[in-house]
Amino acid sequence: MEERESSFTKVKLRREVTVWGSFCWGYADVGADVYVALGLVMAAAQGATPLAFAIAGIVYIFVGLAYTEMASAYPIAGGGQYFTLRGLGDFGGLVAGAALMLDYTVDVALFAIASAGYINFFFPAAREFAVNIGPFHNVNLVWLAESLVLIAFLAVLNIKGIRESSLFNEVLGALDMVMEASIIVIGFAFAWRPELFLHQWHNEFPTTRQLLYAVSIAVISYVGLESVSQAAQETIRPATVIPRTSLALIIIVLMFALAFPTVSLGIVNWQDIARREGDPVAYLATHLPYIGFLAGPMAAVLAATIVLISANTGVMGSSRLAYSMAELGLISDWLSHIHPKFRTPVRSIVFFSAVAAAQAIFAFFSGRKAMETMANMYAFGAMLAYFLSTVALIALRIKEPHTPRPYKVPLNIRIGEAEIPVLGVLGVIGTFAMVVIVLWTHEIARITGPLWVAAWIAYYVWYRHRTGKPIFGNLPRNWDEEQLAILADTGEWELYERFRIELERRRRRSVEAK
Amino acid sequence: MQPHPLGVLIAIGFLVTLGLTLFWMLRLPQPLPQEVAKAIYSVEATRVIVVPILDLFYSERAVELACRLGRQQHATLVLAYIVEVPRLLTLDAPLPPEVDERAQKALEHAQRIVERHGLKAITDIVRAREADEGIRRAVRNYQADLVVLGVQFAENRVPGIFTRTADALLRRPPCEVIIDTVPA
Repeated sequence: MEERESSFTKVKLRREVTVWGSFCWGYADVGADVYVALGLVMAAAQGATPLAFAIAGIVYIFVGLAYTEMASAYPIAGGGQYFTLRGLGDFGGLVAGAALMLDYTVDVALFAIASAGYINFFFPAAREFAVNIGPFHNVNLVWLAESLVLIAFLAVLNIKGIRESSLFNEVLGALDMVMEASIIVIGFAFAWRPELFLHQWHNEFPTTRQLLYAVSIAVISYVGLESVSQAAQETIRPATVIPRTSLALIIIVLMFALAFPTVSLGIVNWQDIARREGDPVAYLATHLPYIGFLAGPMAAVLAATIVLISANTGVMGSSRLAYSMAELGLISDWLSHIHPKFRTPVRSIVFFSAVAAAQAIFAFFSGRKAMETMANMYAFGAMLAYFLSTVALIALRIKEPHTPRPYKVPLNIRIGEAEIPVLGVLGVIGTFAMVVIVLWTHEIARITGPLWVAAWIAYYVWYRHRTGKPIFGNLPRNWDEEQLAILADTGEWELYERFRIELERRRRRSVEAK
Repeated sequence: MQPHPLGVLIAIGFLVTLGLTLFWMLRLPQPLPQEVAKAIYSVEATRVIVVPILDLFYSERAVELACRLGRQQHATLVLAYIVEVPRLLTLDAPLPPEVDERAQKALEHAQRIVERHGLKAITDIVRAREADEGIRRAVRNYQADLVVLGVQFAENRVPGIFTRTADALLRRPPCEVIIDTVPA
């Protein structure tokens, strides 16, 4: 136990992620999403794909601002699950943790499938391969096998303790941004035809249900803000750095997410992109003038790498989350046990990688496009976690108005001591609407998503009952002490002093009141 | 392939926005060392200031100084008129009418200064055997963070109540103490 704590404490306390590193950490995760989402959204939204991305982007802005505030105020690994537990209590934290765990495992499966899809840019036969197995039709066993190999590869890497290097992320993030920006700039400047774009917008507009379905898939382009929060504990001066990197990430990811479908619809027909579910960006890059012959393969290689790294954040994230949940008394610490030789949480890595592999198999046998099935699940987990996180933002404003917030979501209404964020309330409404849309439009997610959460709740009830902990109540915690310790650890002395003085003032006030 | 002007414009706009966003993100403000942060926020944390009052000009100047110190954080000023009661009398013995009148006048002046700054003032007449004892009591009663005391030293004069008090306060400060010494 001591060994486990010391091992994790070391990891938690090492601060080496710079402002660029923090940005790239998020960008390697969120920036990779468009490689996956473009083809899927195009298939549903057709000529109105930019609109689907824009609608999802509005919700993303609200959620992004909420995460920016909370990640800078509470710079500790745990992300949405930690914020929710702190704001809504243990049960809320468990539900958010379950939703995020779904996201992380789906993230591993979906991005491993996507990485294999981009590898198949060079092997068209593998991309087109399909067999019928009993009642299951058009199952691409080659693509499935490739995906499973990639998942196993990531699991082994993580078991051996090869950590995601910040420098590697920084270099890859920069390369990826240059590549994506080049595709967009060259595409707009030399190949974009507004008449083709308008023609597709007017003549290929989807039905409302199709558009809503597309919006619910488009939200996956914006999933990944968690990684900035997860890396907060390893970020230098997180309270200063995170608001900047998160806000920059919101703007830049939104720009790319809107630019890709817009430039695509002005260069090629939406059907062509939709058909290339596995490698839409590489396909688009091959249609660029002058550099297409080179840009296509380059984009495919870069995309295969960056989406694999995104999958890796899922493996890492699930083990970190399991550790965080065990530490907070939500689950048993069996899963977060540290292997004595590798000094990594082998059980959780193996367990959640196996879950991801099972999800990948399920996706290929689901009778739909494999990536679409995974995207549905991904959207459900993300939206449920984001919904709870935005509720937690408001709860924390009420419960902890004295906590110093280096960044505050703008537009607030003061009620007593608390300031209620209007954009936060809109975020709650937006994410709740997204959860409803996902449940309404996604046949698979509507069953498997709630089932997943229900299974976690059943386990939680059993575990808390067995260990004599309150099921719907909260374990006693001293959040103020913890907050002071976090701020001292981060070296954010301005915030530390503000918080310390505020605590002293509150203490005096309560003494006076007595 | 002929470039379309709108496409070129969008491409330029995209690049410029991307560049500006990254430039803004990478320009971080300098961090504050712990000692500096402590200094800044300990001053900002001063919410209740006691100003001992006598009907002399330098005390009123101390009120002005205290107001300026407390303006940014909207501090409350406790204007404590100190009456030293001789040991021959009980502490609650009735004050001579001229002392009471002088106290009210001095407090009124001080209050005007505070009002000019838009701050909250609490006035109090504090009786004590020694002025420093009265100030200590005011600090305790009002949970004060700071005492601003105006003192005038004069050559060839017997040290007045405030110089005595300043000496006592500096030896055993009840909280942070600022002594404003105005040359004679």
